[in-house]
Amino acid sequence: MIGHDIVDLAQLPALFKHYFLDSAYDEMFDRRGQPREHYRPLFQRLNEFSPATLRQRQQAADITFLNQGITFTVYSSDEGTERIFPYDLLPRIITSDEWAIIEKGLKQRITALNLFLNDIYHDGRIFTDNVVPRALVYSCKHFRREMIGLNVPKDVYVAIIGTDLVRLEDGRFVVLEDNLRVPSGVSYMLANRQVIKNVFPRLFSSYNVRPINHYGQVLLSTLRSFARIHRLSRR
Amino acid sequence: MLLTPGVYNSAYFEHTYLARQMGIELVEGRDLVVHNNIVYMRTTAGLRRVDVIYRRIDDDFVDPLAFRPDSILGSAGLLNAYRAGNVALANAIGTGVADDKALYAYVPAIIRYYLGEEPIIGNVETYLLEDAHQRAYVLDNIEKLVIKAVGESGGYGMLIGPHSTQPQRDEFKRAVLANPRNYIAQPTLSLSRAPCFIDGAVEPRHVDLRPYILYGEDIQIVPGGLTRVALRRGSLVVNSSQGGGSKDTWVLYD
Repeated sequence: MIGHDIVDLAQLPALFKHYFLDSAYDEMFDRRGQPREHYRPLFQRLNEFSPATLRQRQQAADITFLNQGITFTVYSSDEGTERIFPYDLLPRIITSDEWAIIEKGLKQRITALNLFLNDIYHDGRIFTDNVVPRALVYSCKHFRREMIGLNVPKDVYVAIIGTDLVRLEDGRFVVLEDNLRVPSGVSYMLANRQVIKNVFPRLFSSYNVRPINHYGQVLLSTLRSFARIHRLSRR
Repeated sequence: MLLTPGVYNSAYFEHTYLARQMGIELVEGRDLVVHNNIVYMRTTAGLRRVDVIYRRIDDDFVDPLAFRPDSILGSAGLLNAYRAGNVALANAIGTGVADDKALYAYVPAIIRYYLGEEPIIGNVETYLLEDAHQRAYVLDNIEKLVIKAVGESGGYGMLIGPHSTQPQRDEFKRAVLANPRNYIAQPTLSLSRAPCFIDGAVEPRHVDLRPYILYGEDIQIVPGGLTRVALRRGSLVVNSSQGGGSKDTWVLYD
């Protein structure tokens, strides 16, 4: 699978001796094996570290996760069910332009899915207009008859969502799964950030990274927007 | 308040973490009582009315009177209180219909129908196995495709064709034929790779991205999300229940 155009990888520092490129999109290197612009500072910094230093940082991160009790449960495993959440030391970096598309696309998709839920539990216009078969929706395991005709606060059905995106060979993001029930993992997002800021403080501050630590407050104000006082405006 | 199934749930750490971040109560079903269609929380100072519940319990378990009668995780009468408009649930009941894997194929059409816009982010090509033509194609090419059970998540109920054995493929063929509505198929995707620090060296591993979206007064997305990593070499499965890990995700300013 390795093409002739990536021989440059042989000239990469020893730390990258097992690295390879194939038809899959690589987040760090372009097709010619050159680090992408937004990964260049990370690439340079990694090459300044000795392997021993990197191992030390890894251990520091591991201990932080362990001490904070950041674990998850695996059912039906022989090795015990409680595990430290496996964590990788190197950040994944997304440019402002890439994010602008993701953000716009997700807002569009969630708006439409929320309108869809409101419709199927009320008038079902999308069925009578023959866009989605009624039988398909009514046969869903998670369709709830109890919700038919019920108005929900602010007409918001999906308040907390975790959509899975993947990136294809041409670099485009596509949606793999819409998780509209009880998506999990956001605590790992927050914990990862805390840990990496401690482990790579200089690297982190050399990048202009958008903060995420307000998530809890946004979640709280989202929940509060559904409280009774606001619900007086219900239809 | 945040309603958790309790300490045995795989995401219990997250429930405690979020409740602490928000400064809200973390409760289990047995801490709630519904009286005259109003939900109360039992506290040491008596009952306290509850307005909004962030529930981390599946629909099936929220109310034994309405759904699974054997559930001890929810609270009896909660659905009636919800129907009476006396308590809000996030998310609403019945949202799972819109993330059904068979319905997924219709999402681009749903976007065009309600918004009159082209989807900004696309879908993965999806075969509906209820359709005889699509089913025939899938069964002939099963070794190239991924088959997924529509009601499952977390990487369970899935066959990855190129990494499967003949007995596994035969088993899925039988299951598909017995209940085609219950399965979809997709091409095996070549997920992007990101550098990971593994055994003292940097190696590429497949990743996905799960941004977290919040919809209250308006829609807000905290920049980034959870990048999940298939840490096993060559693996395409990023789910934490299946040997996946995660990495920090940095979204840069301009």
